[in-house]
Amino acid sequence: MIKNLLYSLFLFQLVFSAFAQVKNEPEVKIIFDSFPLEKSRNINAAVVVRLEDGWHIYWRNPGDSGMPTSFEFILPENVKVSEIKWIVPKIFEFEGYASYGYEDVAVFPFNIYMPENFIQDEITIEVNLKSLICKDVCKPFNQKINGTIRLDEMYIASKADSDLLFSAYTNLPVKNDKLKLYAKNFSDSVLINISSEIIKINKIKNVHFIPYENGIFKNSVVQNFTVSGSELVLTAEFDPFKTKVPDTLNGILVIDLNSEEGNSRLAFEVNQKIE
Amino acid sequence: MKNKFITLIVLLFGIALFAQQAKLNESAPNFTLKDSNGKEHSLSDFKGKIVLLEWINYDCPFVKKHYNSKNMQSLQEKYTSKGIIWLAICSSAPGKQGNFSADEINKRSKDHNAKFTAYLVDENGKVGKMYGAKTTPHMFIINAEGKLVYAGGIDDKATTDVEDLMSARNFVSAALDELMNGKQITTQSSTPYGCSVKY
Repeated sequence: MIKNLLYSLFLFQLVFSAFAQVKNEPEVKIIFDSFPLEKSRNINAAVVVRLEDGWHIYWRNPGDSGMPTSFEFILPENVKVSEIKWIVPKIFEFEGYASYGYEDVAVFPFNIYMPENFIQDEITIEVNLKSLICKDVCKPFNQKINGTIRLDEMYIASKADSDLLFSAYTNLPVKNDKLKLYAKNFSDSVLINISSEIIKINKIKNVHFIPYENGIFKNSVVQNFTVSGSELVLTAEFDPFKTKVPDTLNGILVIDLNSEEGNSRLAFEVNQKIE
Repeated sequence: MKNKFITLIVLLFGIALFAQQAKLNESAPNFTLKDSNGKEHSLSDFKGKIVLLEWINYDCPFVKKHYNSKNMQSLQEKYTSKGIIWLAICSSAPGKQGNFSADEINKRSKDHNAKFTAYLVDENGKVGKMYGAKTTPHMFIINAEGKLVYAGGIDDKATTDVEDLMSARNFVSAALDELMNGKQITTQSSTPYGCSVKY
């Protein structure tokens, strides 16, 4: 009887400790987009990190705390991948400080390229993910993952994977072909003048500059801007301990529009000389 | 008249707050905090000495990297033996990660063989916010004249990997060496990295 009880306790502890180990651990996998029957030479893919409630993972610039999420690819011979495409991050605020990252399901898209004479029927992509995940506490989350895809047959991604990739691609910052920008140093900040012949400036309800490099600009949830006629002036404040005075503005401009068609968000890559 | 008075009060309050913010190459704001043994320390007590402030949270993975590897303790030992005052400051609010009882702080500090001058408790986060401490660790150096001369990370490897310490460029030891040798500090600010301070 006691022996059985002890055995049950042992089993319970085993199950409980196993559960405790997986609790709060994100699920991570590589997904591939659909491609046609003929051997494809360019495949859209993504690393997907599914986080537990309340946890977040970081953007390429983590902001005031955290760590950039990074990826190391191990690829078959002659296979290449693009750099990770960083979708517009969410801004997390805490006690006046701000971090950039993703919660719930974080998608990190990339492209796989193969040469014309590539003859293998399947490939395996390996990724070493190095990251930090945080809630009220932080912990390193490093994983080795791999994904295999057959190339000699048509591949149709699941609806869930297709939706994730579609959503990710629609949230990628694009090259700026709509805004006219002018940036100049002013006191402890950079003033970014924005005008456009395509976007109605008076329909902009919010605008935010998120820098690629940390330590130069103050990270914050709200940045001040003023609209005067057809021009908007955004103030990007410097960090009080800025590591350098930049000569170019590198990052993304996120614009929230409120027009007759409803609310929408645009994000542009910015590489603007500061006068 | 009443409006003018209110405006003046608000303005003076604003100026007072602004003046309390630490800025590079300006006088470091004074503070008084109790250490883990209940003894009070003021920054002004260390006039004429170089003071280093290290924001700490023993449970943060980035702090663990520097303490489990003994990197932080060896820096503490090296520089306190040369007369530098090394103050570890914890701004974790009650109930938040890193906020421990005095006994627990002393136990952990002893287990780590920490060599700081004192471990100061800043539960209401006033000193942390005054210095703009964002992360643990986040390092600040005050010269013998009482001016803030360095603010930033301990080094340039923003990871939790102990192996990265070998190739890291340590900004703190470079700044302290330059300061002690009467040289200009080459890198006065760097990007701090780590967990958020648990205000």
